[in-house]
Amino acid sequence: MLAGLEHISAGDIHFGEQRINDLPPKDRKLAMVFENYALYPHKTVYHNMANALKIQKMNKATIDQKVKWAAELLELTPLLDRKPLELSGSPLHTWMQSCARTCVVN
Amino acid sequence: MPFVIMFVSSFKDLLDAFELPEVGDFRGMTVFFEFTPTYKHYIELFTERNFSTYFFNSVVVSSGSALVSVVLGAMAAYALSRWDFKAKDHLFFWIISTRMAPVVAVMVPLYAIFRNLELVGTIPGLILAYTTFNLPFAIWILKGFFDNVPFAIEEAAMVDGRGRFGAFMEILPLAAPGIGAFIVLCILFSWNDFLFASIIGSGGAKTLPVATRELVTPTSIQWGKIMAAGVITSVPMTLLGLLIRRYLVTGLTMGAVKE
Repeated sequence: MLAGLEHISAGDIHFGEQRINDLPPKDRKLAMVFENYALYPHKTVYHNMANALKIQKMNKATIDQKVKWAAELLELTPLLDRKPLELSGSPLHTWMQSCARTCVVN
Repeated sequence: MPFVIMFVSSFKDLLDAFELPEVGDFRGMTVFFEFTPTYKHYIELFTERNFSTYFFNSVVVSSGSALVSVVLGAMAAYALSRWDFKAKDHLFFWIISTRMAPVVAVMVPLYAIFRNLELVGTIPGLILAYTTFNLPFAIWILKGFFDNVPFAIEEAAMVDGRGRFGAFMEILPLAAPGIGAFIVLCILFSWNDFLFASIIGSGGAKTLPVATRELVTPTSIQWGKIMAAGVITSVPMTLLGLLIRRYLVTGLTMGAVKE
């Protein structure tokens, strides 16, 4: 509901002063870790993390800096060129990557 | 075997082509391969019979129809896969029911409509005719592929900042095996079709099968040229099938979402 993916049947949600009940997910400027990871299987770890920033039309250098910062934080740097399916089958790595995608936005 | 005979005969002079062994004489089979190769049938097709134009028409019509069908079909299939609405099942069945009637049954009304719209004998007309038949097929095939793409990936795209259309574009690569398979089937249908091409495309939009048919005249049947035209028609489709084979392998989305 906070991300705008579920319909709000009653009541209001406010971000600060703004009522966001009818605001589409793309305009809420949120990031979230999905329970089932929801990574793009055809993109590398790097591009999974960079996606939201690219959509915000951030410049390449800033994206690169932010992605590398988040990857460093979660010890994902050696895995940046791999795809989610190639993360040695470790659920921890996949989960970390999902977290990293969220970190990078904030 | 018919394919081998077609291929070999296309390089034979007419006299060589009709050199046949006695019935039951299996050793005499070698006579099939004893000939001096000639390219004259191919050369004549392209110089005298204008086959380059017909080949071009075939390519434009079949790829054009595949493109239109895949763009419209993917969007319709996505909508049917993701939204629930009243009478959705009936709509879905109605879409495929348009393919249940034989082509001949709809040909007369379709011809009347196309003639009124001045689309008979034009390439856009033929593309539209094939699209009417390919689109329901596209929707049915692609809906299955979109059903297999986890909804969470689109939700992630929307949280990342994409709108509904952006999210659709984001998951499109995951339906690539379906799209690849459909494009091949769609091109095959349009490429090999004779009925639409001879009626709707007659005149300005002649394709390879129709041009091949015209090699049979009341006074003669030009076997050499017919065999060469058969090779020209079938080789591109064989190559396409080989090229796109890897797209037919599914499983791109496996493991993306925790089960």
